[in-house]
Amino acid sequence: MADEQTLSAADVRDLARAAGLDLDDARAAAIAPTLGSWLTAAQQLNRLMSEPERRDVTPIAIFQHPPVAPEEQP
Amino acid sequence: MSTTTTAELLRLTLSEAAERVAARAVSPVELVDAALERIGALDERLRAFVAVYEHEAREVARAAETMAAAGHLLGPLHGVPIALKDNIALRGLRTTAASKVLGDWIPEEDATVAARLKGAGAIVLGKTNMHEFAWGGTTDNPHWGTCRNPWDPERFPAGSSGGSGVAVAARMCSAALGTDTGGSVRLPSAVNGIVGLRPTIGRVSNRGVVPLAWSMDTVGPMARTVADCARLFGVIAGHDPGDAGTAQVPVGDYAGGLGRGVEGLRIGVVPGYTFEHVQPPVREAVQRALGVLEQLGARVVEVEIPHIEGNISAQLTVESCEPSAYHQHWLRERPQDYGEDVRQLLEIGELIPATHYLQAQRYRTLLRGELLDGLERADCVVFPTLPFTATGVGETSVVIEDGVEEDMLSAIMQYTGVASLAGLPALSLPCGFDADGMPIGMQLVGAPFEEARLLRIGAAYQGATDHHERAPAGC
Repeated sequence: MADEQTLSAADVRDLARAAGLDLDDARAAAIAPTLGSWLTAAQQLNRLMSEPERRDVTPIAIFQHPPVAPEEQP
Repeated sequence: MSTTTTAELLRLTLSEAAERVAARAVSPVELVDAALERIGALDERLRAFVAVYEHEAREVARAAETMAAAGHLLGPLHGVPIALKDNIALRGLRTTAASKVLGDWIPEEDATVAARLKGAGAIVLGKTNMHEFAWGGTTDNPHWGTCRNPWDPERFPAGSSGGSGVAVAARMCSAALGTDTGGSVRLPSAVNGIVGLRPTIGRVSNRGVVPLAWSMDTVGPMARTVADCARLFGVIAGHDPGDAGTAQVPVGDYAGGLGRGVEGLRIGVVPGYTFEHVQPPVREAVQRALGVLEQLGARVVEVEIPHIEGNISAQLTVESCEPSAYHQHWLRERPQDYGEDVRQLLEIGELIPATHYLQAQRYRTLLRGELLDGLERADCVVFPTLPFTATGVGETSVVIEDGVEEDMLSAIMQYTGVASLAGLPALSLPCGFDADGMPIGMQLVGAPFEEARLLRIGAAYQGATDHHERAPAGC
């Protein structure tokens, strides 16, 4: 993918339609520059995280361990 | 009851006020009356509050006075007036997250942190203004009014906990709670000249708090001194059976270790990042602060964090996607009820690919590992809290260097996003002023559950400086 992610209002509208979000032309045009800029930066991060030495890095995740009542403990 | 004047009452720190209530030298009624008078005088302009519970606060203050007179103190906050950010639930009182979408929500239970504050004797004065749903850093709120910085009402108070920062700085309350996802406790603390702590993720319960981004949200204390923050933090910290995200790690004696000094401690700076891309007055203030810590016996050491540069993109990705998931239904059903800026951010979050989100979450693992390695070689890592001083109200861009305008949201999280992504504790405290008299904050980032060490360093710094003693004009 190219470094600079330039998005048109039509591109944004298509993405939104795929996400089930109804955006008119004006709204799509309003968010296109910011979305393009953030996606460009994200591409750089994607490349960093795709380098071979980071192949085994797993995502941060939230593991929750609710307390177990004494009568329910194995 | 006492002969203390209103001005003197308002100057008391949280700790001083609590100690005087305990000694029956000051009445909670006097403290609440003084705070309400200050709110009445300033808040039409500053818009720090979205709700003030005048009647309830006075009723509770009278009860607290009676209890104190009988020698019965509920806890370390007995009789002191505090404020809560409006995304923290209070039983029976409207909690809106400063939004229209939640405009009619009346919680049936207190948030855990609110219950703990009440249990420790605090009197809740009201709810503070915030960036709508905490998604933004300016507290320019279309539903509740534009919150303004008491040091210069034409400047912004930052956010998202802007109202809490302003209320504390303007002496409208003894302390406040904020919430911090990408920096929302630390940023308003810095630009309003107060102290704010982002705790380790999982140290403080989020039960009853309207979420922004689940994997980074935490409640944090905001006050005028490090000692006050420690006192407040000791009350709200700890495991909560109602929030499975909280850790079963013992709560330390945060106030007890404040006087231990910094002799022999190692203060880390990150070459190529701590002092890069920052306005000169901010850089110079943080450098002077490091000099003070060295004079107190600490040692400044360099700590390499090789991939720290990627943090802003990761922050924006995570902080976009998670809120958009939470708001997905409302964004489709009631889009017109959001402010324009928040609506746009929520729409953007819908359009970021899941693979980007997961790469950002993988980056967090990488960054956390590098920071934990670095924190083996240093007792904390120092950054400016934000790379610029308060900008004008309503501005959406900022100039940091070379006359280049940058997007506010990206620029404001340059330093605070680091601890947020890594789930680490971070303390922001005042370290100077720019030529216009606007406050500057520095940030100490520590290892997980090492809040006590950060507070100890901050207390040593405040013991040697007086930035935290200055007040905005008229306050």
